[in-house]
Amino acid sequence: MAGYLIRRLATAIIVVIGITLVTFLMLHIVAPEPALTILGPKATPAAIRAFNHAYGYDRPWYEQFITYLNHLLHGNLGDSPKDNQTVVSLFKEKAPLSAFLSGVSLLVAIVVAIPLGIYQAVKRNSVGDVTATTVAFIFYSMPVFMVALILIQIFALSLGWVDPNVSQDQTLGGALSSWPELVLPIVALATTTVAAYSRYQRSASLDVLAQDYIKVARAKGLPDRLIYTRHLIRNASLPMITLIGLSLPALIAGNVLIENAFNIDGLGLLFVKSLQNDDYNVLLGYTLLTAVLTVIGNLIADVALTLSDPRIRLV
Amino acid sequence: MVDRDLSLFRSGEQMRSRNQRVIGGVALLAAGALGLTACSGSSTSHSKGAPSAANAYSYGKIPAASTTVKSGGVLHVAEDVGADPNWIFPITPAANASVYTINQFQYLSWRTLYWSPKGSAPEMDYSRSMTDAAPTVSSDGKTFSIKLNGKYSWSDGNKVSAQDVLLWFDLYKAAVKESPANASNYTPGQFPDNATAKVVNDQTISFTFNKVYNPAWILDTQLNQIVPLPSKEWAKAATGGSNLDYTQPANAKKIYDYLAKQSKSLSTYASSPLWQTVDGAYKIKSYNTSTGAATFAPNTKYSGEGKPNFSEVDLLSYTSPTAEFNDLQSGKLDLGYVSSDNWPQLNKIKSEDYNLYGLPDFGFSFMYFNFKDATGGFGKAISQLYVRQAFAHLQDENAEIKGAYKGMAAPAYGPLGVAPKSPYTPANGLKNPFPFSVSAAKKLLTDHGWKVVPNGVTTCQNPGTGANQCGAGVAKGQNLNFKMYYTSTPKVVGEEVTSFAGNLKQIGVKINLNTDTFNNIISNESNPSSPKNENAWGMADFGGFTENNYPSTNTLFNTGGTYNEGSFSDPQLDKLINASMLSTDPNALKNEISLVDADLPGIFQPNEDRIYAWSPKLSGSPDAFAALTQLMLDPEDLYFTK
Repeated sequence: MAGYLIRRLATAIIVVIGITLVTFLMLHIVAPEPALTILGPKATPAAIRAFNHAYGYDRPWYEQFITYLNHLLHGNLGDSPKDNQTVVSLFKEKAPLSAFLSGVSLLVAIVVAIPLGIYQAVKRNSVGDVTATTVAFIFYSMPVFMVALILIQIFALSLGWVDPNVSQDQTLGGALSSWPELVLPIVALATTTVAAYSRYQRSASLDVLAQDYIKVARAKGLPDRLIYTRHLIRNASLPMITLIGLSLPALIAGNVLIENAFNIDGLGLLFVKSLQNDDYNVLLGYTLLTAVLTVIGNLIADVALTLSDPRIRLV
Repeated sequence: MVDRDLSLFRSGEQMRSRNQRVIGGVALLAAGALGLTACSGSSTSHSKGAPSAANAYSYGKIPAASTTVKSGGVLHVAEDVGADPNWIFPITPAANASVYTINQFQYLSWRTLYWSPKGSAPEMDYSRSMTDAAPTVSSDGKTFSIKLNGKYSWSDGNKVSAQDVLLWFDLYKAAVKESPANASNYTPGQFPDNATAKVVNDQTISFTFNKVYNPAWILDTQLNQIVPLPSKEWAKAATGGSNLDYTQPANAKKIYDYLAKQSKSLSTYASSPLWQTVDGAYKIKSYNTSTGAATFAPNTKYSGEGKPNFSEVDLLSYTSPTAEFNDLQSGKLDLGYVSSDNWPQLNKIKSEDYNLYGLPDFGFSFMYFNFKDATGGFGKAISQLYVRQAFAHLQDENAEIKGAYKGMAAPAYGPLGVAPKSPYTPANGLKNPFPFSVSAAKKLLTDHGWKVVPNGVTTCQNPGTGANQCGAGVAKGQNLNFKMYYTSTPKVVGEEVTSFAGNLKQIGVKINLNTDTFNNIISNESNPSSPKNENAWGMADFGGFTENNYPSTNTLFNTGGTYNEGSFSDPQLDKLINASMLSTDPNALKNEISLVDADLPGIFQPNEDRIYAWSPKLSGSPDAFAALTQLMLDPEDLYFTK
């Protein structure tokens, strides 16, 4: 296991550097000098020259890349001239709430989807299964922003039970102090995830229920309750581990559409704004963060799968 | 007033703005009445404010100021989407400059020497300025003396003085010497490079310029940038340090560096004692570094026009116009905008008795030509005035206003639209010189040797430079087809462009339409920025520009102008643009704009209304509400009625 992990980590570093290089090159091809975008279309040539010099954009790309890597090794992701902050401080400010919302919604989705999927498999073709399948397909096919808008219209604007937007104090603590405002975005995020996960869980559970060891257990007279808790849940949940592991980047990246709808100034929106502003350092930092999380998510999924299923060996 | 146009180009949700105001002499009346308000929590009455002057192109109306004034209460105001203010020091780098950061954040605490606009009118408002009149000019035309009116004081009790003006000037010089990008309005060779300053006495300062300029240009583009800074509190190079002689350039640099560094420290905006010395009606109380939301407390020592009636002003941050509109609907916001995305839902706001008012801000939108486009000889063809006139005849502004803008826009026939009206708007800017007419367009072409084939391909049949020929450089058989880029957002741009393309088809001109991002268009479809692309596009549309009170088209349409995207050139216009800056003729600018209207360096488009909504319990000077359309926030002129 240790050797495997070391190899995976070494590969991950190469992958992350490669992603950084590709992103860096692509940004420089698309927008070699972002000064005009950041300073505005009426920026004077003198201001543009000064800006490019101050941020090193007047140097060859490879020099810029080496400088970037050097800064990266020192934990410096650079500054955002448009946001007047360092990239690290921007991430620190915006990540907690994005991660909390995505994390809680993921947790809710898991708690609901796994039992629901198993129930549907066990009660296959029952009224409950058909109803759940129908509802799942509706939400699965519905864009998340549509769910958000419907929730806002019903519960915030028509019934007036909650505010349509999350608190303006967007520190995690501040948002939690107004927790009712977090309910709708979490529900909106969780609903579409439940729809997807429950379908996976149902399918996996049906596969397991068709296995010989389940039939043997039944033939031996084991009660259904024990069959499900001892044999079905664990085996049918294995595919979910991979699925959840791959969801890790989304925890931090946030959800652009939900952030947009519920007025949450999170990481997802930061990325979109940075794209509009050609804000190189934020874009690079965000891509790097996503790459690292994807690699970590994969690794965690692999390790968790091994721990859950003795048949799997990491070599 | 600071030249706000640098960061304001018209495209994207948060950047579609220009400035202007309703002309109304109500500011003094309402503000004077506010001075009679009683202490916190009580209600009182004052003389009734008159409604702002009517404007034929405005949406909604501004009610008269209520006679009931309730002191206190928290005013909740929406920040524009994506316009989070992140620079507090009133010398703003270009990267951080936006009209929202400057007008709706900094100006709450630090006021300009010359206040503008007046309501929605692009004029000086001397009732809100620190001086009562335009500067006096010396007999040689170079020295401008400014006498402060003594109306404004700092929150520490000191009067705003000539030294405070000088501090701004010296720090501004230090800033732009360090980097031209350190000041958003800086143009090399202009203020402060072209002037020296001298304190005459405590309340008088003079600026001597290096040559004679048009006095209106000096006032509206140079002196209007001045924001007096508290010299007794800010002339330091370190926290707790002693005051330095800022007239020494080395000291000025140290002071500037210190203040700029403090301005970069977003987390200390509310705690730093620096930012608590203000001459505006409110001072910062809290600031959210993540979202840019901020709260302001009243400056109890405020001595200027109006009165800080609210116990707090909260600037709320939004991620989307929809989120902002939801808060308007739920009543959480007292004052907010209604973006075009939400125009179809205006009735929802009306049903809650919210007041609505809209007018375009001061500026223009246009589709510009590329006079260097050699592809198919388009550049040569479009260089013929009659071709541009024919194209202008094919833009149906009335239909666009009715359709794309749902009636919420004002026509524009040049860089100065019909609303808001500027003193410099020429006669040909008030009535469409090229009304929509396919037949007129067709006639212009056929009269000059073109064979017009509606829905086909129109070609030049009679090349040459004669009066009835196609014109210089246009070859026999050449067509007028071209490639056009336009920004994908806002969608109204696409609607205007596709409508124009459909109309051109009727005279046999086919446009190859392409959408692109705003960023790409300002970078690529611009001959000054991307000369290598000069044959890759024939027309482009990224929105437009906002303008200041003296809307000369210098740098936009003069030969070789920095932002002359399509390389337009007319020696006569060059002369007039030069005269607008350097002659003392008061009509110079009007003459310049009149020629731009006739010259058609681009096809000017309608100006979209900026619509604001406010709670029925909010009242105040009609000028303050009109000023919202020019992106000004003047809470000292507002109050709750219950």
